[in-house]
Amino acid sequence: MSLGIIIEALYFGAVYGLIALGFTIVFAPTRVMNFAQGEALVLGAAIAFQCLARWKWGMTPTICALIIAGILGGVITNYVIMIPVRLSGSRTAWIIATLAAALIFQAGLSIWFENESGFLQPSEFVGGSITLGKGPTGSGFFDARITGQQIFAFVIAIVITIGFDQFLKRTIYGRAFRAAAHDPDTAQLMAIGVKSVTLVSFVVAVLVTAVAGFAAAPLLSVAPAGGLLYTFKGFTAVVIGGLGSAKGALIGGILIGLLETVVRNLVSASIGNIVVAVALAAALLFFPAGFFGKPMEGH
Amino acid sequence: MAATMQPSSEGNVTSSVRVRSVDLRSKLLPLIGLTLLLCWPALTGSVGFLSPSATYVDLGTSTLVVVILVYSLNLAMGYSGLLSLMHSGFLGLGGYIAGYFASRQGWSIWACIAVALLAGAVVGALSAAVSLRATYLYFGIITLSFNSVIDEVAKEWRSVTLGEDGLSGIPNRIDVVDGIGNPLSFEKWFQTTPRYFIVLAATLAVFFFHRNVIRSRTGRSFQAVRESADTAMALGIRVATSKMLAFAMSGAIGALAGVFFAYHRQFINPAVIAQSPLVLFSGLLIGGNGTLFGPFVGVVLYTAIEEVLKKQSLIEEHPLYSPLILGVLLWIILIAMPKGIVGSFQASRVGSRLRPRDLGGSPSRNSAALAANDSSRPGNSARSAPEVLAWASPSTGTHADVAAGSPILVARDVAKSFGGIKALQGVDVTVLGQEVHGIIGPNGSGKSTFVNCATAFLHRDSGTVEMFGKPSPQRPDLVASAGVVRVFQVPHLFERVSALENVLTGMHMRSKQNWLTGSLRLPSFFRDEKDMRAEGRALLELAGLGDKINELAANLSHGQKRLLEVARAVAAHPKILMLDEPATGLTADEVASLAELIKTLQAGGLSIVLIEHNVNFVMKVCDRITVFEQGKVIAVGTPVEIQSNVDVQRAYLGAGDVADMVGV
Repeated sequence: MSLGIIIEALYFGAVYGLIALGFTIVFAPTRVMNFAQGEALVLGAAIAFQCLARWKWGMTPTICALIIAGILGGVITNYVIMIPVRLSGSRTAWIIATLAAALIFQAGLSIWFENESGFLQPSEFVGGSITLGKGPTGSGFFDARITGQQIFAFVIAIVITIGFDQFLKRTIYGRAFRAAAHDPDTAQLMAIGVKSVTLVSFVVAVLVTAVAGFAAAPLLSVAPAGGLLYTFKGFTAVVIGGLGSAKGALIGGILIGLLETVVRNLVSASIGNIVVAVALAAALLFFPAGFFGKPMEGH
Repeated sequence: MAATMQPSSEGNVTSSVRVRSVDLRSKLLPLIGLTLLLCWPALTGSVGFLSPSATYVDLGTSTLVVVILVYSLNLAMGYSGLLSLMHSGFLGLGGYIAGYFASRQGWSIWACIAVALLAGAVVGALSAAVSLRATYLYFGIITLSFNSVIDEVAKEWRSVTLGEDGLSGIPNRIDVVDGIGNPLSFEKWFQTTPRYFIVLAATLAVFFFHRNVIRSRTGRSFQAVRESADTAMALGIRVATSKMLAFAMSGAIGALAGVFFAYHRQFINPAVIAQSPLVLFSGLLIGGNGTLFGPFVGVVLYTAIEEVLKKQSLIEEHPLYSPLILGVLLWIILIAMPKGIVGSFQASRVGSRLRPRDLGGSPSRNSAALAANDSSRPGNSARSAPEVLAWASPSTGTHADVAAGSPILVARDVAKSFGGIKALQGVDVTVLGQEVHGIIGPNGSGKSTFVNCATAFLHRDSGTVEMFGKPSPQRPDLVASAGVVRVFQVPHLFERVSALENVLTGMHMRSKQNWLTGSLRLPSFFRDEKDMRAEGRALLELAGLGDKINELAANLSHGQKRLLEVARAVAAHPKILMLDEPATGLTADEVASLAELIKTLQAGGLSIVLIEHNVNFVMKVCDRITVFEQGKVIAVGTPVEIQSNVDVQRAYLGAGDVADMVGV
């Protein structure tokens, strides 16, 4: 147990938090829990790997590629999921629609990196590091090394979360978002284009999660077919934080990151997963709407 | 009367003949399916392109195991509205039970099945019990975390499960005891084809269990809870019990699938649990969620697509394309048939004619008279109680303790605040036996809040409510079983089932069936069901819905829905019927037939509390009226007294003559 573990927990948690934020953004206007959300993380890591490690591009074109890929991914996700959901009108269609979307993206990413045996892990692109005490080789609590990449991933998550929260609260578009989330039919009557709100939500959600994947790609071990794993982490985070709250998503993500990393280091990896699962169930039993959610959001 | 009866009975005969022939046709597709299933081993042997046949017989067996699992999911998700993400966990649970006890302890398959059924039921009931407060989506997420607990336990409890490696070499043996008690070992016999038939028999048993449960009192309560927990409670259904029972059944069947999985594949490991939930949900949702045949059709189609894909040369060279094509195909099927194959077929013109319907049948002796009672139509007999209400009669019925004119519901000083808003500031209401008691008042005067407090849908802040001399129960379903049944302000029908099914759900409290008699279809189930159906038809006749018996509730007009709701509430045999604004949105004709119905019910012996805006209607049907204003009672009396009451006039008009306005 050392500070290094806490730092690891924080940037893992920040990544989970941004996946959770993606869940929340899409869930609000659509009532869809997007099981393909983790694929956006893989997309971000894939762009980082392709552009930085394979093509040796500079930062600016890579970021442009990331934004274009994020927008495209969002638009595609929107149509793949929402067409069947709108046609069916049942409250279970989203399950299979998002699973099908996850399957398609996962297969696509696997084919893209068919010849890649390992993870989509470029080398750290944010330089610099701070060494505390004796560094990672020491045994004291404060012996740790923090890299610029770790700080970058964590700060990006905080900035995006606060930014989205302020966007919802302060701007007229944020109001439209919240109106569409509260009651799509009434919002439509107020001349809010719910379909466009939905489309924008998907784009923003995919972008946010792709940025997380991009920023953390050198730190995480993301496999091309590993999206579903991250989907479930983000899912857990958003549930603990409470659907419908940007802050809740980040805090939920960090809680999951802490719980998982600390227990994994103190006991064992497998027990860590059991603890997370039991903690999730317990949290839901006592806070049926999560820590920051509103009771009605669970419907 | 004979003359008027003639044409209608003729009509009945011709229509029932026509309907019966349709009914035979509705059995045709399932029979073809069953024949194919029975012939599958023979088909694989004789059709060249399916060789080698043993592989395909085994494929059939594996598919049937998944079919069992998806039927279990259908019971939870389709019919009970419980989103379950732990069904692969149930599969693993059953699989490990079979694996451990059969391979390590040498138990027979029958003992393993018994233990697995029990374990699945217990795990299911406990999972549901701890998540009773959770809403739809959150229930799913809690089950997801239970699924990972099962998965991790399988990985970690190495002394029993052997960790990641799992248990293998599970014996393929079925022991049957012969006449003198010596075990006959079927080791050789339990080969590919016999194993297929054993699993097929189990699948059919699960199918019929599932169908029988759905079409019984138990299944109706599951579906009622799925549609609206509040409505279910108002009809006396215990929501907690219903959810736990549904999930226990589902868990038991899921674990059963696990036992057959372990016996068939001869191994079980954590990868089986962690396998993608895709086949489960695809099978259910492609086939049709909440349909009888959906799980079967969906799983078979999914497996077929998967198998065909495997044979393609492109996939053989690039296996990664298989999930891509599968995903796109799933997506296309979902767009083409949003309700699933069976669901979309049932909604189509051909399919909707095959929907099971009540053909009338012959009512059993004690209810024959009431079904034929011609005087039961409103309009014919406003004041004579038809025999369908015989149970409510104070002299002969089961509710003899409700004497006319004695106080049966006494509310004293009931208060309720929502934050700073004092909705009720201490109201007294007394309802007398066999009266129609109106509660009127301007918008926001606390009428509906009072009904919610009296029926325990809201907790009152202070005050007492006595029903039939006893303190009123604190749970809505107990209030209903004490004899006070309410109808909501907004129609809360079970829209996806027929009008008759709605009324049958209303009979939940009195039905003598339980899940065992219902699922096994014991003689007592048929007797009970026959009587209930006869009474249900008679009740619908009484409410003027005689021609809508088999109509889906969703297809009724607003006025018919209100009448159906009243009929459903009456089916519960209440002593007091509480109607919350039943006339809202009705046409003048519909209000008139509602008034007739209320008068008929009163003549039958029911006491009725009527919350209403329509003053005209209230003045016509009520014996006594309580007037609310701003959470207080401002007047109590007969319609005539109320109309001349100065306070009431002021409340409604500010000043002036209320009688002019209501036109009485």
